[in-house]
Amino acid sequence: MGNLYAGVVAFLVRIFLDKITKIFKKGKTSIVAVKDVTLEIPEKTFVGLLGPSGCGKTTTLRIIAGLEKPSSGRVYFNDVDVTDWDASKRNVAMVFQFPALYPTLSVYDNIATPLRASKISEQEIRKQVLEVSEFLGIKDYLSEKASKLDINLRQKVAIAKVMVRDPTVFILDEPLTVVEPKARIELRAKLKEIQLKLGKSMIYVSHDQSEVMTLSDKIAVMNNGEVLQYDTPENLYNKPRNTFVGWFIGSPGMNFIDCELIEESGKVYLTTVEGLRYDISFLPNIHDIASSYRKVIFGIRPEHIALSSRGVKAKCLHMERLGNMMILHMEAYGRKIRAKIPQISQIRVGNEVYIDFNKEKIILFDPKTGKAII
Amino acid sequence: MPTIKLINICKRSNGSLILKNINLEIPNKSLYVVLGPPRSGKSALGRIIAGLDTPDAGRILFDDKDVTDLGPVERNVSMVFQDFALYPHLTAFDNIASPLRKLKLPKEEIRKRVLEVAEYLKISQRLTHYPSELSGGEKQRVAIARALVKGAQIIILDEPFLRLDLKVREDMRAELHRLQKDVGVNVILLSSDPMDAMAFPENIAFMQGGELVQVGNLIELYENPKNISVARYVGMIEMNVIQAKIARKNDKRILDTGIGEITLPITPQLSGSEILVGIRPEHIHIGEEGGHPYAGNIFTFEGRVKISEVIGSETIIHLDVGLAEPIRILIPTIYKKNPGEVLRATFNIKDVYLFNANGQFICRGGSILG
Repeated sequence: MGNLYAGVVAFLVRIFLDKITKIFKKGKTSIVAVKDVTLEIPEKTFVGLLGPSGCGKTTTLRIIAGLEKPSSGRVYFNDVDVTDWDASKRNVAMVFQFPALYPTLSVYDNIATPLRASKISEQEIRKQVLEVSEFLGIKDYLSEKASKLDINLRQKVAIAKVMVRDPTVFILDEPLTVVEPKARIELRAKLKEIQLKLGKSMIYVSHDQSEVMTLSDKIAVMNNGEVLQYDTPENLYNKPRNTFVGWFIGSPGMNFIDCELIEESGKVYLTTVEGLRYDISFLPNIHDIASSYRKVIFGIRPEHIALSSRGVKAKCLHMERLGNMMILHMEAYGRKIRAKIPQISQIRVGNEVYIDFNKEKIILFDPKTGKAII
Repeated sequence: MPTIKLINICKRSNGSLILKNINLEIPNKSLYVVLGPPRSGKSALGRIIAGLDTPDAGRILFDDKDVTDLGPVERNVSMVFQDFALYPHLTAFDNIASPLRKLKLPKEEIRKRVLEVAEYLKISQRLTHYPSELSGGEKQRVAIARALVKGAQIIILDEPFLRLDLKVREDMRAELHRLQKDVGVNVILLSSDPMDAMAFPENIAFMQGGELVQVGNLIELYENPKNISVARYVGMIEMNVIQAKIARKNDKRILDTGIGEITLPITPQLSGSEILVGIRPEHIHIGEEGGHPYAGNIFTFEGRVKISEVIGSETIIHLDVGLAEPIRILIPTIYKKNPGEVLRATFNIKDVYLFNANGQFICRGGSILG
C-alpha cells in the first residue's frame, strides 16, 4: 500500500498550501489564476472549493494534485514539502467529470489494475475488488466491459478504482456533473460514506453550491483567484464575511442595500436618500460602528424577512411560488428586495406591504471593501 | 403579443405521434410555461407555434387569425434555443444586428436599435466580444436581444436556464419578468425544470408523452394535480409516494403504508386494494425542530439519515425508512445531519394526496378526515 513513501503516505495526511500564486502566460498577457492562497486541509476532512467559473478553484485543485506547479508558494503534505513532486508520487486519487477507464477491459480488471501494479496476490486483489464493488453497488457488472456501462455506473467504477489504491487524499473535480439527478443523490451519499469510512480527506471542486454544501465539512469560497472565506457551510450561510459570499451562498442570495447611518437622540438609523429609515439601535456595538462608518451596506437574507404590520413599506413586483413558500420580489424606496415567506395567497402584484427584518440576522458590510463589519 | 390558440394539433415524427390532439390557449402578453419531462413534446409544440414546423393536423390562430401556413418571420415569432445559436464568427453587436441587416435598415438606425436593446439587457459593455468570450448568461442576453431587436411579438425560449449556473438563473428569471412587463411580449418557456413553474407561476401547461395533461396556475397544479405525474413533477422537491394497502381493522378502514397505518374516519370512494399515498417533502417535519406546527391527525415515523442535501438555503434530508426509496424531507434552513443518524419525522394526514393504483388523483387527506 502506501509504504513506499513512509512518513507522508502511510498516515493520514494534512495538506497545507502556503501563499500559493499561479500565473498563466498567454502571449503577452498574464492571467493570475490563483492569488496568494493559504489553506490548511486537516486530516479526515471533506473540503469543498466553490466559486463561479474562472475563480481559480480547479487550478488550486490541480496544484494540490501535482498536475500544476505554482508560480510561487509551497505545498506541504504533513510538513513535507511536495511542491516539486509529481502527481503519482503524491499518491492522490483523482476523479474527474468524465470517468477515466480502460474501455476494453472488464469492470473487474479496471478496478484491479492499480492493485496489480503494487504486486499483491491475486487472491488479495480479488478480495478488495469484491469488497469495493459490493460497497458501490456494482458487483453485478464486474464482468461487463467498461464501455458497455452507462455514465452513472462508469463514474462508480472510476471511484472504485481510486478507492482500492489507498490514496493519501481524494481529489474530485466536478465528478457528478454528468451523472443523472437520481443517481447523483445516491453517489453523493456514497462519497460521504467513503470519506467517513476511509477517514481520508476529500477535496471537491464544483460550481454547484448544493453539491459542495451537502458534502463538505469546510468550504473555501473563491472568486477572482482568491479565497474569500474558508468556513463551515453553516457559517458561510449565517456569517458571510463579505458581500460576495452572502450573495453566492443561498438561493436566492442575500439582499444588499447601500445605506447611511444616522445617529439621532441616542438611536442609530439606517437611511437612504430615497427615504428609508430603519432603527437598528438593537445591534450590538452599533454606536461604535456608527462612529467609524458613515456608509454601510445593509445585508439580509430573503428568508430572514417577514411580512409585518409595521416596518419598511414595500411594493410587490412579482412572486415566485415554491410550494408552501414564496419568494416576493419587492421594491422598497427604489431598491429591489427579495423575501422568502410562507405561501400567502392574498398578496397580489402591485400590493403594498410592510416588511420587517430578523434582528439577529442583519449583517452590515463596509462598502469600501465589501467585508462584514464585526 | 397576440392571444395564441392551438386547435387539435397533431404531429408525427418517425412514425410515432409526438403531439396528440393539443388544444391550448395562451393569453396575450403572458409569461407562459410549458412544463414537462424530456421528450414530452414541449419542443415540438414550441416549433409549431414558432412556425418552424407545420402540424400534421390542427390549426394555429393568433388573435383569431389563422397562421398555420405562415413562416416564423410572417408570424413575428422568435425562438431562442438552448445553445443560444449565436454566430460564433460575429461579435455580440453583429449577432444582435443580424436580423436588422437582413431587413436592410439604414446603418444609423441599426446602431441605435442595437445599443438601445443592449442597454436594456445590460450587455452594452460586451458588444465587441465574440460569443466564445461571453459567459452563459451573457450569451443568453445576446440571444434575447436579437429576438427583441427585430420586434418579435412572441419569444419562445427552449430550456433557457439548463446550461446556466444557479446564480445566473436567478438573474435571468428576474430579467424575463422585467422584459415581459416592460415590453409586453408573449414569453413562452419550454422547460423540464419545475423551478421554472415556480418562478413563473401564473400560467402553466404540463405535458407528458405528447399529451397536454393539465393546464392551470401553480397553485392549481400543486393543490389539485390531475395525476401522480403532475404531483411528482410540480413541486420544489419531488413528492414522496408510498404504496399502501387498504385493509380493515376493528371495523375501521386503514391504509397500511409499510411504515405505519393511517386510519380513515371517512371512507373515500376507493376501488381495489391498492392505493398510493403522496406526501410532499415540505409537509414533513423533523421531531426535534419543536414538533408539528399544527395539531390534528399526525403520522409519525422514524428512519436513518442517508444524506442531508443542502440546496440553496434549504436542506433535503433523505431518510431511509426501509421502503424502496428513502423519504425526502425539506427543512427550510441549513441543517446538516451525518449519515446513519436516527430521526423522527411527522406529517399531518390532511396534507397527504391519495391516488388510485393507476395514478389518478382521488382526494387530499383533509377530505378523508371530514
